[in-house]
Amino acid sequence: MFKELIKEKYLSTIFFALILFTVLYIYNDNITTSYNNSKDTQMRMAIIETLGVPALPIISQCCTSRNLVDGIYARRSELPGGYCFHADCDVAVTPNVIAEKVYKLTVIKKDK
Amino acid sequence: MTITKYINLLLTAIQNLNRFKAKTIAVVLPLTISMSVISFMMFTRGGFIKDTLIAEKFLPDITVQSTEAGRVAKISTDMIEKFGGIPHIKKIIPRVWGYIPLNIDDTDISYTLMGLDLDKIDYHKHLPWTLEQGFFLTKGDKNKAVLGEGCALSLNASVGDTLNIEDTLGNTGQFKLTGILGNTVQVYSTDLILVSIEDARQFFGYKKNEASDLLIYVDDFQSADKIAWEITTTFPNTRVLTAKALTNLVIEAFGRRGGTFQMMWLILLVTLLLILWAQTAHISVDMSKEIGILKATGWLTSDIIIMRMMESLVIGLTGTSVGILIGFIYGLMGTPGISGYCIGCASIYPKFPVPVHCDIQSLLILSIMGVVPIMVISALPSWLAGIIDPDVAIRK
Repeated sequence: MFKELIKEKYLSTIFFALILFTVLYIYNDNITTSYNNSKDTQMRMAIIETLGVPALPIISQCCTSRNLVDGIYARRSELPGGYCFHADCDVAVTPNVIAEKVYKLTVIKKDK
Repeated sequence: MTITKYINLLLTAIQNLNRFKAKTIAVVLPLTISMSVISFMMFTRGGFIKDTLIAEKFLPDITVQSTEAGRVAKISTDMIEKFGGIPHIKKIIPRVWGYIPLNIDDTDISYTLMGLDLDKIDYHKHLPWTLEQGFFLTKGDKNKAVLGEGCALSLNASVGDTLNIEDTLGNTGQFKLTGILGNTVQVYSTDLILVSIEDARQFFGYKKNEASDLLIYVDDFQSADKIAWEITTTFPNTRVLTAKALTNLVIEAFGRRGGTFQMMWLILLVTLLLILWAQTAHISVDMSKEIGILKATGWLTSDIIIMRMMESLVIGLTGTSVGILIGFIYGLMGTPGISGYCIGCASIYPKFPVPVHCDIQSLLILSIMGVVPIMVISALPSWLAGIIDPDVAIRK
């Protein structure tokens, strides 16, 4: 009877999904995201320790990040690599809405 | 005997699902999609949180900034001497940094120019691994820079090139590029232009005794909060952030972002439940006759209800388990297509391996969210099917 159960494709799908998930989970937990075993994680931590950066980078300026009433969350961008915590920033940050003057940055290639 | 009965009921339920394949797929498919959406969001969030928790050990124990009129201002390095009297402080490193707002290809980008005190920073033993090209800055380096990969790609810069930066006042800085940080560390470094602290001071117009913030390292992790409190009370014009506070903020940020996704997912789940309700509440003439025959041959009302509930259970378990698996694999692949949302706010998203992690709590929540609503929504239709009068059903 149990054999019949295993033969049923719905149940075998569930078992297969669970087994594959467990294998991936163990691999990911012990290898990919573990500090001791993952070279990637060790590299990320090397950057954090050397630079003292606290969080993910903010690449585009957020209109709301200077809003003082938002307290520490918004003012997080006042930390290097600070990360704006507004969930709706994807809407707020669109090209050409920032009225700030921009700097000039040119690259002089070494062979020139 | 009881187990055999339930196994038989389960087998019959599965046979029913096989017979009404189109109906089954109509429920399993959206459930799978719905569960994979919520799963990859939870797992990606879990990955960043795990990374953040690991990072807590490597962050400066306390970051101190100066405030002026409620805004963050330059901090005097004279404070280092004043802080020096506080017990358990091991080391204080000044740092100078600022934004470089640029417009590249009609996109507003803000890079971060960060000046490091090359005499004082701890060079992590794995730091050379993080460089894709060239070398990191060393003691005594002047007018040299290391770039984050996102920055180098946008500017098409490589080692040996010279960066010429000019601010709005016409102040310029020239930096020879000595290294480029790799893809793996983009999550923390993609926007960075690293220079020596003296170069950063010169470019931003800081005096010799000024810095953007001070990084404080203590010899006893337990005393960090106490020291932070002492600095806050002794020096009122300071903004003091402990590593723990920064970690909690990042965790909370991902919670909010996950919350937005959960709302979207909830709408998807309610739609799915309505479909399921419509399907299970409608009992066709054939099904009605079948139930009538089953009851006439000795099946109890409870058996019919259990069988119908088992159908929902199998649907729920199939959709949930496959959905979680797909979500996990999608997360491991770096959530292609929507990684930007998972990472944060930016108009240019760095492409780097997104950390993925799931804990037992997340799995339990996902399983409950996937299976329980389906079971609950099908309870009433199952009962309605169970109480059909066999005589009336067969005569239909």
